[in-house]
Amino acid sequence: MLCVNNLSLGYSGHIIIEELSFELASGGLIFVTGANGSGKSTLLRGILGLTKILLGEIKINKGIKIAYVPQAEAERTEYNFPASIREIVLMGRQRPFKLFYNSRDVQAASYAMTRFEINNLDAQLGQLSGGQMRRVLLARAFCAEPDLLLLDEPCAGLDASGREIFYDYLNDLRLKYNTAVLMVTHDDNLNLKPDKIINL
Amino acid sequence: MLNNFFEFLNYDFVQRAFIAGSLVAVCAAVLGVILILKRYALIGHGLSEIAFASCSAANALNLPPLIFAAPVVIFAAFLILFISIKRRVGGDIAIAAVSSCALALGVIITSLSSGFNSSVYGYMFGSILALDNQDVILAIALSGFIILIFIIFYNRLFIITYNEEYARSLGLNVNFYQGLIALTTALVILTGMRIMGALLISSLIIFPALTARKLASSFRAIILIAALVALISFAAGIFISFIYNLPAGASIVIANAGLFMIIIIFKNLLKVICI
Ligand SMILES: Nc1ncnc2c1ncn2[C@@H]1O[C@H](COP(=O)(O)OP(=O)(O)OP(=O)(O)O)[C@@H](O)[C@H]1O
Ligand SMILES: [Mg+2]
Repeated sequence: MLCVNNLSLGYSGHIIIEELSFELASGGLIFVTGANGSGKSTLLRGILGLTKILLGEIKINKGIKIAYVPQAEAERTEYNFPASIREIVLMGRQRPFKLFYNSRDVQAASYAMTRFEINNLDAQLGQLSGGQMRRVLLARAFCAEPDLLLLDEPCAGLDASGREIFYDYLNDLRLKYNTAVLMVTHDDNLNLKPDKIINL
Repeated sequence: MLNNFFEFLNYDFVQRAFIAGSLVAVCAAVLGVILILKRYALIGHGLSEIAFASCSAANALNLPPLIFAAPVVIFAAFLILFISIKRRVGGDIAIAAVSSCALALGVIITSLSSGFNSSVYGYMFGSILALDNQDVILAIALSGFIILIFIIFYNRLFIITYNEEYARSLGLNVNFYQGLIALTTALVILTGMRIMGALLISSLIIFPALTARKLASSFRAIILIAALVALISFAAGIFISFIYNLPAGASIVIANAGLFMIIIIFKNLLKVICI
């Protein structure tokens, strides 16, 4: 599914990740840990093609569905954007060559919103609290029913019940769609057993 | 007075103005939502100055203005877009610098050649009540094309406008859609210039989106309201210009600004009453 080979990533000259190699198979789970600034987000962004690869290669199976939950800060600037929660979550159903959403897409999105207990569907993005925003971003990624799920500190800002929903839902995705998960985390996730932990 | 206005609506040239003008107003409004949310609003203004400069240059050189201006404006749209992507900060300064130079060049070329004759005046302030059938057909074709693009790529344009990085993570070709936005902006300016004039077209892009933003909280609503606001202001502007015998383009801008003010005052009144 995902194969990383001798990968080096960095910004304008200085290298942050050096010669990293790992493999993530269908249904697999990998944790990425490390101190602040060690390059965890950079790794996810590299896999998504959002930062330039300095050396090495990233191989991803063709045509798979990838979903991404950015770190909370990433979409801060969009908070005042005039879009409803509904519209934001539905974005997760976007696919290449898919111009319009069908009823299946709308259903999947509203299922995810219900599951994350997001109630004020017509509220504007800017009116959400940090934890509510996190639930929206998670719902957006989970409703995609992805083959590969990249999570950047998904539980940051979630309350206990939010975390419980998250772990339940994640398990369901892995059982139902055999989703491979690469997850940046700082907690000891006792509920999850990773195949591998990458410490940056 | 109203009877007179309805009689006025029976004239061919008025009907042509209504068809072409309202189509262009709607296109400009919808595009304006995207440009404002992406903080590219200045591109419209800069491009219209460049469009004016190239039309007056074409006029001085005895070339057909639109055919000469079209490639220049489209090229400038891509150039400006490229500048603002490459250099996040300072993009707006670059636009202002380049476009005001173009405007100055246009003025110099004009005064060196024929001087400010009626066709140059037309590029500046538009000539909405003097459109011929060819203008209307061009306006219908271009607006039809633009509206079709907006409908087909609505969801994609929404995601790109919301957050380019997220769009990239979904595998969308962000550069393609940015190019599409640049191209549509150029087309709206080119069609709008004949109707509204280079100096006023950018207000058709900016005002409806600003007004809609005050009223809507979802992207779909803001697009629809902006289009509606554009239509209402257009009709109101033509009406005002007829009643008081004022220039049509300028009246449409004033109607737009007036509607915006009314909405703001109304919203603040509502706030005061609720407290
Ligand atoms: N756009 C950028 N340009 C230049 N340097 C950057 C950029 N983004 C991140 N960095 C640097 O790269 C390093 C790794 O950043 P990254 O965001 O990947 O860290 P992280 O491991 O996710 O940290 P955290 O735990 O705080 O989320 C940091 O030193 C940071 O300063
Ligand atoms: Mg990070």
